[in-house]
Amino acid sequence: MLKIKTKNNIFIFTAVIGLLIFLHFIKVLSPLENIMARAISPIAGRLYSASSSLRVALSERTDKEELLATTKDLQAEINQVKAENARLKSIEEENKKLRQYLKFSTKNEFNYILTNVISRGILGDPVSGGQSLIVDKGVADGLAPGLAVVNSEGIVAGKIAEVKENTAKIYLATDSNCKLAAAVQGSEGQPGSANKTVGIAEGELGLTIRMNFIPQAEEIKVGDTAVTSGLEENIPAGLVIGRIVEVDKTSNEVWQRATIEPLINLDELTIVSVLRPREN
Amino acid sequence: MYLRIFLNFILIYILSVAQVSFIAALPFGISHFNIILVILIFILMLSGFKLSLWWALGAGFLLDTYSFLPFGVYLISLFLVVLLANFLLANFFTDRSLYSFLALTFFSTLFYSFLFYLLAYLFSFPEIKINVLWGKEFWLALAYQLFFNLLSVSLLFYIVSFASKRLRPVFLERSSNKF
Repeated sequence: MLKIKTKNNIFIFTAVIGLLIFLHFIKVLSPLENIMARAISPIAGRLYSASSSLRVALSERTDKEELLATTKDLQAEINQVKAENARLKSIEEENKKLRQYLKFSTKNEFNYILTNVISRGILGDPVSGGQSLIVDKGVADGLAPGLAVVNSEGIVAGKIAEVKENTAKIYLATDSNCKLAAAVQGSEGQPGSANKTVGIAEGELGLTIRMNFIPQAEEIKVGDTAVTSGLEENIPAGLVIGRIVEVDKTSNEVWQRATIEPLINLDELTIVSVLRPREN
Repeated sequence: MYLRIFLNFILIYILSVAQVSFIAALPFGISHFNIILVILIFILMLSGFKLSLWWALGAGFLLDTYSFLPFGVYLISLFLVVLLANFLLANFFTDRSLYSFLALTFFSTLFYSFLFYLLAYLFSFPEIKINVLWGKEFWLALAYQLFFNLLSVSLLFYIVSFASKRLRPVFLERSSNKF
C-alpha cells in the first residue's frame, strides 16, 4: 500500500516538474517568475550587503605596520594625483573653450543605472568561484549583454553577461569569461601619448586581469594604467580597469602580455552602476 | 490547512533567499554550504516523503527563477536527490540516528553535486564544460560542501533532539522478564 502511494507521488511530482519546465519555455510562467524576482530584491539586497560585509571583514588581515606603510604610499600617491588633477583641470578648461569655438557637442552619451547586487556566483558551481554577480535590474530597466559595469568611483567592475526581465548576471573583471577591449595609458599622463597601445583584457583565476595581444614594439611598464579603449560598441573609452603590475615580454613571441591589478576590491561591491548608451 | 501551506511557502522562500543572497556571498568554503539540501533531508526524515517533495518543488522553482542556468536544473536535481534519499532511508538508514543523518547527507550531497553538473552540462553545452570534474576547484568545493553540510546536520540533530522527542531513542523492555 505504502509503495503504491510512493509511486503515485513520484508520478505526480514528475508530471508537475515536466509541466513547469514546459510552461517556462512557452513563457506562460513569465509573469509569476517576474513577480518572484521582484519580490526577492529588497530582502536579497540587504542580506547580500550583510554577508558581503562579513566576507570583507574576514578577509582583511592587515597589521599595524602594513597599514602605516600603505598610508605613506597612499599619501605620496594623493600628492601626485593632486598635481595631475590640477594640470588636467586646466586642460579641461582649455578643451571646453576650444570646443565652444568649434561648436562641438559636449553632452555625456551614457546613462548610469544604479543596481543592487543580490547574489554572487552560481549556487553549487565552484568553477565560477564567485566571480559573477547577480543584480536586481534587467531587460525591463534597459540592461543588455555587453554593457560596462562600474563602481561608485567609475572604475570598471565587470561586464553584463546575461539578462532576464528583472535581473542580470555580471562577469567581474577578474573572471575568465570577461573580455574587455583595453588600452594602456602612460603613468606620466602626457596628453600626446595618452593611449599607448590597445589589447584585450581578460580575467585570470578570479584574482587579476591579463592583457593579451600587445605588440612587441610597444613600450609598456609597471605602474601604467589600463583603461577601456572604446573599441567595443557599448563601452566608452577611458574607464579605468586597473594598474599594470607585471609585464611579460619574451623576444621570440609575437605579442607581449601584461598583468593588471584591479584598483577596487571586487568583494566589496554591493551597489554597481551600469553604463547604458543614450538613445537618440 | 491553508495556513500550513502558506507557512511552508514562506519558509521555502526565506531559505531560498538566504541561500542565494546570504550564503553565496560568504567567504570561499562556507559559501558552498547547501542549506536547502540539509533542510530537505531533515524534512524527509522528520515529516515524510510527500512534504519533502513539495519542498524540493518549491525551492527548485525559486532557485531556477533566480538562477541564470537553464530552467529546470535545480528542480530536477532537488527532486531526484529527494528520491535517492528516500530510497536510502527506506532500505538502509532506517533508525533515525545521528549516523543515519550523516550518511544520508553524505550520499545526498555527493549525488546532488554530480547530478547538478551533469544537468547543467547537458542543458547548456558547450558553455559549461564537462572537464570541470577533472579540475581541483570542483573537488575542493565538494569537500567544503560535504564538511559544512555534515557539520550543520550534526548541530541540527542535537538541537532537534534537545527540543523534541522525535529523535530520541526508544528502548522496548520485554515484560516477560518481570515474571
